[in-house]
Amino acid sequence: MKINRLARKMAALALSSVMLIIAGCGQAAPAATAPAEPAAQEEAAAETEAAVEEAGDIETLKIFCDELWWPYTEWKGRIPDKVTEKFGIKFEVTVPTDANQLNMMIASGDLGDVVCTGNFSRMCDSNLCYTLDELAEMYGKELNIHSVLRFVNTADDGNLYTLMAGYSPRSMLEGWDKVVYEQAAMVVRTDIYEELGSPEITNLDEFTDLLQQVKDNYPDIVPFVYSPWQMNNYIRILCGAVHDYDFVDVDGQAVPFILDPHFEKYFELMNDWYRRGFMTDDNFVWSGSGDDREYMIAGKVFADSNYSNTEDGFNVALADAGADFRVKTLDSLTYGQPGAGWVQATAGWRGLFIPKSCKDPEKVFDFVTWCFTQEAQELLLWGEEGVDWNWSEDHSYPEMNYDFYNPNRDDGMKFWGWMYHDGKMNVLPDYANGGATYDARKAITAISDSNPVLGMLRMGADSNEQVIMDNLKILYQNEATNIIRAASAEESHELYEKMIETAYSMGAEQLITWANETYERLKPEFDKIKDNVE
Amino acid sequence: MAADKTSKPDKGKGTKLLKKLRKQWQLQLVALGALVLLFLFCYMPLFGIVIAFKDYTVNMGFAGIFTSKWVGFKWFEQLFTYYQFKDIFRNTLVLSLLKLIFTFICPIILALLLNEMRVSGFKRVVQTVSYLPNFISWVLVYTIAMAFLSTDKGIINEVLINHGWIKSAIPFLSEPKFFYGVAVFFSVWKNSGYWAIIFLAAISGIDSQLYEAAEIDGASRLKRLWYITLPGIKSSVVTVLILSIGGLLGGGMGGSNFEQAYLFGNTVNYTTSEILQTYAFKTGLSQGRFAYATAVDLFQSVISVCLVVTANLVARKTTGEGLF
Repeated sequence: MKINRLARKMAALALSSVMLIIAGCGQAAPAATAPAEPAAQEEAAAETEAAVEEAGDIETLKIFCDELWWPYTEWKGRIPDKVTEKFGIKFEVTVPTDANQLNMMIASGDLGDVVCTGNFSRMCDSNLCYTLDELAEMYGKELNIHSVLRFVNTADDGNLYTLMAGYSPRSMLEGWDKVVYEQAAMVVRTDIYEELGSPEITNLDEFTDLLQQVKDNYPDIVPFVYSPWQMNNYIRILCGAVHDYDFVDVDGQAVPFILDPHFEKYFELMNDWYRRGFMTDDNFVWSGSGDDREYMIAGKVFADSNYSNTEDGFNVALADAGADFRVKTLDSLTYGQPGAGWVQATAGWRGLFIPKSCKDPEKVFDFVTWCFTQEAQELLLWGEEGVDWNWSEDHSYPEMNYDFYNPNRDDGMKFWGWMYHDGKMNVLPDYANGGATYDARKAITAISDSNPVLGMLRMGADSNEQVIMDNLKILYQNEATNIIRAASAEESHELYEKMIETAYSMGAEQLITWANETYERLKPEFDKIKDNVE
Repeated sequence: MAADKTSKPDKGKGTKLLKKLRKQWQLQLVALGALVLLFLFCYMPLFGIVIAFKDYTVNMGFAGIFTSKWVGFKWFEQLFTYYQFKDIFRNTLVLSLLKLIFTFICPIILALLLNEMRVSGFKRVVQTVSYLPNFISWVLVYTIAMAFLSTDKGIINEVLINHGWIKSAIPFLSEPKFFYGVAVFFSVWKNSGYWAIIFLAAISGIDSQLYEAAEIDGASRLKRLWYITLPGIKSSVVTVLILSIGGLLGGGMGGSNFEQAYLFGNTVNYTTSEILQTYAFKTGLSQGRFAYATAVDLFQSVISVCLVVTANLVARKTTGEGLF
């Protein structure tokens, strides 16, 4: 009998453990139910108090920075300390180990206290995140958002969850004539370029001739590579082809990027370069951002289609590696190529979202809305005024007291300002630096236009339109390489035509219909308010 | 009466079992812990498979598994009509079958060869060297593959070009036609040593008197191998074969298909390197389409189950041995 009773007790204990574990697994659910019930709020408040008690007056909150390259994994240093001092909060930082982590966190319901991500459509869900208006009302706070920013950042459900970094309306940029776009660029090796007589390159034909000369005279050198990170954006820009964005405006119609007619010219050019032996097959296999850099440092390549800061960055690396050559950006090509152009079709890149799992929404709201201010951007991006930087005499750009490209990470400089910036503050330091980066950006800016409404064509995270768009992106990724590597111009063109045909069979038409319904509705509304001064 | 006759012994058996369990209750309690864990982490999550038939989205969280709408075979239809489905399905099957054939036969041959070695020191060295790659991760294997096969700095291409046997480097790692070969080669290299140990263990269990008797009867080494060794390890071979067919689409004895296809795959060779698992990962996890990814994986699992059952039937009919 004794044994029986004991066995029953043990079995009950085992079952209770199972129930406990199951209950633990089920804790994800409350995150999807919001706003929090009073009881839950009380619990959260109790947790908050406990946390504050534990760390004196400072509360530790969790931030998830959804970028694989995010440089900081700890909230420490002179600059974060200033924020901690101001708001009484510090952050436990989580950086993703792969690109899928955010989705897993959403599914598990544990998003921490604040999420910095570019996944706008996924996060703009009132069951998942607080809206800024809701929090402002809840805590009696003021929320002054520029009408254009409010318009472009309003989600499909009509709510404002955050402001996305990297976009400012035209009226907010008035008077800031040093503002340029961060964009792609291309560098060439100076030693070879000079040996070939430093020819003036103002269009792609001249550049093709230059690559041919490199091929003929330097058989061990690969004439051209592109950074897989930048996906050959620079050459695409020179061909007028869209990149980075989901939609492009073709004759007033919003169409999926893959149907941009400029791609035909781009593929024709790239296939020609490939068949002439200007490119290496390995280039198509690279997946990391460092492969082309390694090639350049090893002295194996002449031209690298990369980013606007590549000249400055590579030259530091080349000097460190003891290389006897340097690289330079061919800005004359950007200015001179007929038909080159780029439309900044973004309404912002990444934003700070306050999830329903946040244990102190009020403090996080204060912090997030402060991040949108000039004061916050100055501190988080540039550092302390008078210590790290000073305004120029005409107050149009900061004069930095340190290398903005190599900030002191122990002080927590610069990169926390990447959580939110207005697209202006992040590029102004380049002007004072006087480096090639600013010149490259100035050149691209000269051939650029802006159309944030295209960036506002946000398909619902799990909508049919998003599925079609994702499939089109995979289609492009898969077929672009084949089109470039085709054995003949005819075959390349056939593959291009086939890609377009496949795009239609995958639902491109449905996407066009959806996009234009939205585009036609949003564009006039935007045009009405785009020059608002507030 | 007949019923009594059959029920009595059953009741007896049940009582005996209960008595036995009661006697061993402490041990059974330990086993219960393991069973609970097995249930929690292996069986309970299986319930999540239902989302393959539901309109589940990640924003719904855990509760969404139960509350989301049923959509029938919507995700399966999407999979079957996907423009690359034929390629992906073909790649999954071809890669798995090739790996099964080669990674199944090579360890047997290696084990037989090792068994025939007379110099025990050399045998140990060969066994150790062939076993070591099993401990290397696929990431490292890919790095080794790059060092040997890259068009730019690969040793193989350097040697071939320097000897004048080829004019330009062979793109082993990027050309679609080389993918299967490269994948199978590295699977064999990585796993043969490990699986050979299983077969060596089976060989060591064969009665040595059989070999002595055969030798006295004048049987050559080849005949002894054919008539004694191979029949002696038949049951092990069949067991390993059926188990590896069970995991066939996952890579079986040849190691993870997913890791191989994910690491060795790229935008150039995707027509041969994309398999169901990498596709599920890319479209499912990366895009947050968990329901769709579940459907893709479930489709693969159904095929795997069919393969195991068929393999077991065939094995039972041809060799008289089977798992169930």
